[in-house]
Amino acid sequence: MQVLAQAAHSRLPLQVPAKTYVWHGSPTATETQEKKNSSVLLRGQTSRGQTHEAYELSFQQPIISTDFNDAVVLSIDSKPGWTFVAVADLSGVQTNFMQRGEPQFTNLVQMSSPAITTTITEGNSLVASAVPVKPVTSAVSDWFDQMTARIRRFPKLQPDWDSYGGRTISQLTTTKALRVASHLAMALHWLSPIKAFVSPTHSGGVLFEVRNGNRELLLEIIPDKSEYELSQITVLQSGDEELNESKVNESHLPEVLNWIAGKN
Amino acid sequence: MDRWKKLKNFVIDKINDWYAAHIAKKLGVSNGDFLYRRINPEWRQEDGSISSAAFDNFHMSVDLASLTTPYKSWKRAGKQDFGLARLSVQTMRTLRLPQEVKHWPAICNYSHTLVSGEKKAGKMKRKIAQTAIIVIDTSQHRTAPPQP
Repeated sequence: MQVLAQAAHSRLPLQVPAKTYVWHGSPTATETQEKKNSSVLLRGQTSRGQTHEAYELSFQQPIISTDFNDAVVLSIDSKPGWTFVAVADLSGVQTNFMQRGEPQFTNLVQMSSPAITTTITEGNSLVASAVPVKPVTSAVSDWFDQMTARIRRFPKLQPDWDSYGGRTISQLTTTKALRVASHLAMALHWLSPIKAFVSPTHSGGVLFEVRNGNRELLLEIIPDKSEYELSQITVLQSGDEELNESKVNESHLPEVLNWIAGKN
Repeated sequence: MDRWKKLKNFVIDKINDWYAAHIAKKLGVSNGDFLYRRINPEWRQEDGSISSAAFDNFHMSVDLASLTTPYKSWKRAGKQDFGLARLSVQTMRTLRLPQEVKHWPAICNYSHTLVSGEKKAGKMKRKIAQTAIIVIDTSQHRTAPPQP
């Protein structure tokens, strides 16, 4: 898994060392402030959940940074109901908190390491004080494994692989496809089940097809071209389809993939 | 090896084109007819649908259903794991960017037909994929071997 990701120049944090983070000390001013502002703490459901991973967390309601702890209680489920209550590691994490030491509100945390796991809460207090941080075990990694394994098969296709004179897939195109898969995994980790598919094209390219609700994305890597061909399709309530076609380079991929993830 | 195979395919295509243009008797293709397109297993999605990638070349080769059988068309792949999809001629001709469907016989395949037109733009290949119906399943989805 890690090897695959490295080969794809992935920024996906696929393995983390086993660490334990402790929610420590008596409530501080910051923590008290945090409790007032955190819907997770106020709701305080008892929840036993699975392990989750996140690289960019978006919240419906702002959370607040804490100067005294390297962990903060969050909900990672943005849907109503707050089904999962989680603890996220914020140490060594790039956040868009403006300053440490002063409470800063945010609803976006970009995490460079996958240190988020569910735990047990009762009322307003955190019962489980020691929170083990585990490697990725979510559906995203399974999906990512399958997709990268599939992409790695493409260069093995022989000339005429489609019985219509199909061209072989070059190693360069494969590497590009692996990078796109990494971007996809990062953008789509909220979506379950993920409806994304990758296939080789007759001309030696690779086509990604991603569906999310009424949005659909076709992203094609064309051999020997640096830009990707992109079709963004939105099915309107009337049943009509709105189509936006463009050519994008790799630097625009996160923006495009955020669109399919429903983030903009 | 690849170069020789490419060269061989290029020469065969040229000979077939010349044959279709100058020698073979070409038939009109009616809107009521159907077309067969072989489906590589890599084009089959987990949910059973066909990838748009199966229909993206400007001159897309197919077989005219009225001049062949699904089994014969499928057999031309030479590989057991391939599938076969059926397309409607009328659908091809009424897409937003209409495709030209013309009988274009090859020396070894009289039913060979071309669906010509832009498929990348205007989500054409996606539309074609959505209307395609599997006639012979790819091996991973197959419950019984194809019958002649």
